[in-house]
Amino acid sequence: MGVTRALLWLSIPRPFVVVVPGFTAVRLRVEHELRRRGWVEALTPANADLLVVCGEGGHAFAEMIDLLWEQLPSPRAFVRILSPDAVARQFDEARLALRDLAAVQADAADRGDAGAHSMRMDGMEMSAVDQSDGHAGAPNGGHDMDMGDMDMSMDMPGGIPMADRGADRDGLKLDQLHVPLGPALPDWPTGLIVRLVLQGDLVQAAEAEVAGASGGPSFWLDAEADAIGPSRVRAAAAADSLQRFLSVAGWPSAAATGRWLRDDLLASVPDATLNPRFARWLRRVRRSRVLFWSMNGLGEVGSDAPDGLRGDVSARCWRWIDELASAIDSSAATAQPAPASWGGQRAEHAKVVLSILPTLLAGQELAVARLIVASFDPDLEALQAHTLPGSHD
Amino acid sequence: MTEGSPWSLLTAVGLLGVFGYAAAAVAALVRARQAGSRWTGAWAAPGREVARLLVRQRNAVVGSDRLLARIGGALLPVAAIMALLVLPLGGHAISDLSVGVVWFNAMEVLAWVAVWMVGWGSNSAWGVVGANRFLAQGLSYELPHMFALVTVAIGAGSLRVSDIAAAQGGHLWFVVMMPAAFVVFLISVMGFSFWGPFDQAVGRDIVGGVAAQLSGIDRLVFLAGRYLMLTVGSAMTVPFFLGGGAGPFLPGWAWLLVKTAAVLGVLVWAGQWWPTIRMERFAEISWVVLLPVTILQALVVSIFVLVGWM
Repeated sequence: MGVTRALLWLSIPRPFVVVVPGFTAVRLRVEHELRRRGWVEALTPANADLLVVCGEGGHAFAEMIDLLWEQLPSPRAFVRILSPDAVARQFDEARLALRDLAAVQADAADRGDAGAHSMRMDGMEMSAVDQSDGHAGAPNGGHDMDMGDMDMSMDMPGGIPMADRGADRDGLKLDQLHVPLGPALPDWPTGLIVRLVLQGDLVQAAEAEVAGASGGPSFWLDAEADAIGPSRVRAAAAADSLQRFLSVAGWPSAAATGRWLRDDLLASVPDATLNPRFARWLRRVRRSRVLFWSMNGLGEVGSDAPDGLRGDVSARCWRWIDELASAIDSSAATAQPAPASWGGQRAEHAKVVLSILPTLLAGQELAVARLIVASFDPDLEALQAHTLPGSHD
Repeated sequence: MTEGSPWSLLTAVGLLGVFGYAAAAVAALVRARQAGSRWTGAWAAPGREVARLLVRQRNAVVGSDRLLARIGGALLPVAAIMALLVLPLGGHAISDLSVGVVWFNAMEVLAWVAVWMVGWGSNSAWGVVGANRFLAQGLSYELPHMFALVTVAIGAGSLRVSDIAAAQGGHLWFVVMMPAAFVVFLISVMGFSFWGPFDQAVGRDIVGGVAAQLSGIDRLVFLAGRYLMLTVGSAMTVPFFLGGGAGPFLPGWAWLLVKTAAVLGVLVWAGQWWPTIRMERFAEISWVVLLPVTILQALVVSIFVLVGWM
């Protein structure tokens, strides 16, 4: 008993963060607070002991949260954060809850042994969206199928139907997995759902859609009007996209510095006192031959797309780097003219990305598909803010 | 060479653990520095992660093959410790086999099946993708790796690890004679411990891949196995390429530890400073560049041996 208490006391919580569209402000504060405390995020609920939900969504989101919560092995704690100012306090409370031996044991006792929980068909735990008929593309509504509703047949392992088979590009019959990516996926654009049909790790078909209702606030658009200054906000947005991209590209240490820079830009640390580390960091990313060699030529977008989306994955990555370079290096601060309507441009880009993603992703490896999505990092909040009648500028 | 006692086995495994922990702690330290978090407590971070994993429930997805996944996870640290048996610690390996190089290679190949079993057994699409990536990685690094080992064996004229270390005493170290084999060997150490640029099997883009569904003690064993593989790979680099225990002033075992720490440090550094290399690109490089280079290296070293320069 004493040992368990000591171990609980020693352990550092590992949160799994879910973001509801419209609550990017909370996400940014959560990430800042995690960084400050040195808590490392979990990539899956299976390895998390703290489920952090930023914001509140509709019915579909509530269902997804329940499903994720079920997948957290005990000891576990849950926080829903609605306001950036509550983040630190709620983290402190969650930490205390995780150290409460009696409560932890009561929770574990209710769940039986070994943490065997029901899961979706192939254990893809990332979304509440069901997998069997997922490719039919019912937006936000059709979550009717759950483990309990399935025909439990004895010859299926665990009562789960086997994967369908279909012809692959070489004409072989291979298993097809219907795998939805998002909306609760680390380093993933908030509110995006991409439904994939996978054979092995090759994407056969993809569909993109937006989770959640439209019309929420858009953090980056609102922030641009704030006192921090439009160029700082644009740079912070670029840093946010770039850190996500670096994380997906498998460079977590560089991604961590990107988050740090983003937080400092938003915290209105004066230009002169920005840590010289950031300039070194940007130089390192820029000069990383391995990074650019690994992704040159992926996800090429032709000249019919808006300027900001053209080129391959590397080209889009360079746009963020250039934006950041002009923000960090104050001598070049005035070099970039502000676009007439930054918010409108973000919304337009998000819209175009949603329409071109299916064709871009089909036929790619899963790793490449994730890089392509990360290189766009569509701002769906901006899209939703702008599709509201009368809100466009 | 004398056979080791149970005490030397315990010492060696203990040292392996200490070095593995140090690697994890340094990685945590660098991460904290890069993130601007407080880094003074980073030395304890892996220990606190162990505490966290010890009190957690294990995770099991419906329909997962728990036995397969757990055997796979346990195989990883076991393979690392078995590989350690042929490492000459100050001239005395615990079991100085006459085919030590082959033994080491066989233990390292166990990582293939171990990682694949964990990924497949987890009944998750992420796990299966990660497992298959690791097989692709294995197919890419294994042949160059074997040619690097063959080159070392040719240079020393023996498959016994202590003979290989002894062959470099008083001569040039093999790292000078066969630099390409040395580099390839370091790459394959990162490959079989899926570390740094070669961590696609547990990549962030597939939310941890093979390890996506691991929790509690299962995760602890798997991650410990990974660090032990990295450490044992670094340790084996020393008798293979860095002259074993040779060095001035200090005794042989101390030099072995110092050199192991240096190699491990380089690998941990590489893990932080390079992004992941996509499997497709690595496979290309490995078959088109690394394999021919290691074959050429073996040829050159063979000629050296025939001419009598080695």
